[in-house]
Amino acid sequence: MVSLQIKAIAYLKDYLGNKDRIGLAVEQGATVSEVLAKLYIPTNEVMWVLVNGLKANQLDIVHSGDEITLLPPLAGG
Amino acid sequence: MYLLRVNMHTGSISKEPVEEDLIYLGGRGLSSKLIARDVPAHIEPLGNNNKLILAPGLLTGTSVPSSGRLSIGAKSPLTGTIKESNVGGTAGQRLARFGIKAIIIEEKPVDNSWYVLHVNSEKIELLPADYLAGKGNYDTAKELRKRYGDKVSIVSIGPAGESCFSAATVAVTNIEGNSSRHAGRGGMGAVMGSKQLKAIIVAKPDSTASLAPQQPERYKKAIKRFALALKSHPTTGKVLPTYGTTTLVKMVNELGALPTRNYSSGQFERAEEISGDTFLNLISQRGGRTGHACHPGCVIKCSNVFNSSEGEYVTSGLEYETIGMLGANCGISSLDVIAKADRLCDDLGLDTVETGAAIGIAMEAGILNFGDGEAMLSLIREVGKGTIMGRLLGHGSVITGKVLGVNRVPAVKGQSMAAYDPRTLKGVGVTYATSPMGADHTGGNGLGGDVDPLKPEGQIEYSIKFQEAAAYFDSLGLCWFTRAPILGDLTLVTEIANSLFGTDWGPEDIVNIGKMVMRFEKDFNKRAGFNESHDRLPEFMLTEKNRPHETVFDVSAPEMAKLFSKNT
Repeated sequence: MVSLQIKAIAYLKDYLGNKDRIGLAVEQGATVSEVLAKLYIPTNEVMWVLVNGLKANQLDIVHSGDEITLLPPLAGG
Repeated sequence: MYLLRVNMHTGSISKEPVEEDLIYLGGRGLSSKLIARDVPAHIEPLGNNNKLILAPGLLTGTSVPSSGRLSIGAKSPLTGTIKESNVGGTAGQRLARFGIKAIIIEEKPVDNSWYVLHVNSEKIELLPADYLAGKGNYDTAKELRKRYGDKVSIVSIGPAGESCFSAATVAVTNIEGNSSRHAGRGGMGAVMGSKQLKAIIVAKPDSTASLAPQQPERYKKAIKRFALALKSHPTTGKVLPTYGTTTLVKMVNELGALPTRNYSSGQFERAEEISGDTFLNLISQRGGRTGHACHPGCVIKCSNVFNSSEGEYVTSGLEYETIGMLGANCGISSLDVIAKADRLCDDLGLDTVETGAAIGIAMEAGILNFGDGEAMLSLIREVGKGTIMGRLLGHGSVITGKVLGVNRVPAVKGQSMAAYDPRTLKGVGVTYATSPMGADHTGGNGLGGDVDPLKPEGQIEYSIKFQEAAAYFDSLGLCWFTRAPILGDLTLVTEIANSLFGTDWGPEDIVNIGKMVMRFEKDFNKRAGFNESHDRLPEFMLTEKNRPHETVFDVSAPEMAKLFSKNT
């Protein structure tokens, strides 16, 4: 298994039991989209996923110790 | 509908028919067209020949949800370019419902007296208003309500506008009558001040719609679908009604793009204290409000009411750019201090973005320390007193940097950037560099999409798309936030326009509005002496690496010039 730290912003915290940050274990070789699926997060509710502060793609493989940050779709202006 | 021409020199007020080629222009499209056509490009922005245009959007005043925007345009004293500044509040819808397509304020009075323009159903008149001289926007609105009734909308300038400071705003009252909505960028308040026009009072019109739809049933269905799309999209249905834009503090901090201590880092170690979560807690503890609309008919309701710890009103519409620039960019970690600074700026009529950038520069110069909230508030008060330091601040970041000897100035064409570091969000950097209106987030701040924000590839095309979109949203009078559910597919907006106007537009015609508006603007700027060498970010952003990603802005300037000349 691979241990991850998951951070969420705004209403995405609801998917972490209303916490800012949780630990999560996923299968070896899991992708970003599999992490979202494991947390039951619909992909249209996430604008970007950052892995260790950098924008990741849905098919990127996550590694042990990675910090995954979930950013909701936002508008500024 | 008609054009209302107000000559401040002769005092004449005339209603003019709308020429054929202006019929389908509104908001930014109309203000930029009129300026590009009727204002000689080389003129002095605060002189007799500049014109101040107030134009409700094409859809403003109709029942289209979240369409109550008003464009205020002129040649900018801050940038020397053409400028449009966009504002919510209640005046735009009312002007449109009076049948006013645009107000054109021209020339200057012979004396130094102040005037107000009173727009009501019986009469439109210019009236002497020296009794308002020196008053802040809040007191101005209060005094005018006393004289003209509780229900009037007020468009006004504060002391910064009266003094013709380049960072002066034009305030518009919100639903509760607070002067908290501002056409903030580009110094439109200074142009209004140069014309000795302190305020425009707009009565409540009898009409409830600016236009009768050509195909009422089709229109009704289209706006119902639009309201539903806004309600069901996570951005416009969940995040904005709950947090406004304050969630961006944490998000942009995570991305490493939150300007901190005069753009010396993209992460602020105390971002949590000024985050959307802290903001929400304070609002709920103190009896403030979120989910607050700035004008009737908004279904997003991104505004808010922020109270003091004693539960008293401080400000309304506190938003991300203000928190970023008067907060992290100045090392300030107290939302109470930021809210007080926002209120002071709103009252003086000062752009919070430009002011936050100028204070960050003053802090770098050692005039005050980063993080010193009380010193920051005192400095902002200096603007109202007209001291030398206050005048520096009132003229914005570039003047402040020059006089105080700081050359790390985050500005393009004289205007400061907003709260996105372009070394991390490179698409926004392209917009800052190439927008016809100087470094301006409202010119098309793309966030999201498939482009990696840290890489130079794809950023120019990304910025062009957002700049064109901002130009057509601002011309339609649609709030920029409505883009979330509709930017990817313009069919619904096209359906609304066609059923309302009886046109036969396709989605590409909507995009073409944006392209056309940018052409008017770029053409004006070219005649005013601007060329592609002005489309550059400040040198320190090309050489000084930004934490935490250790990146510089590396989108090629010749490539930007090439693609923009091809597209516009």
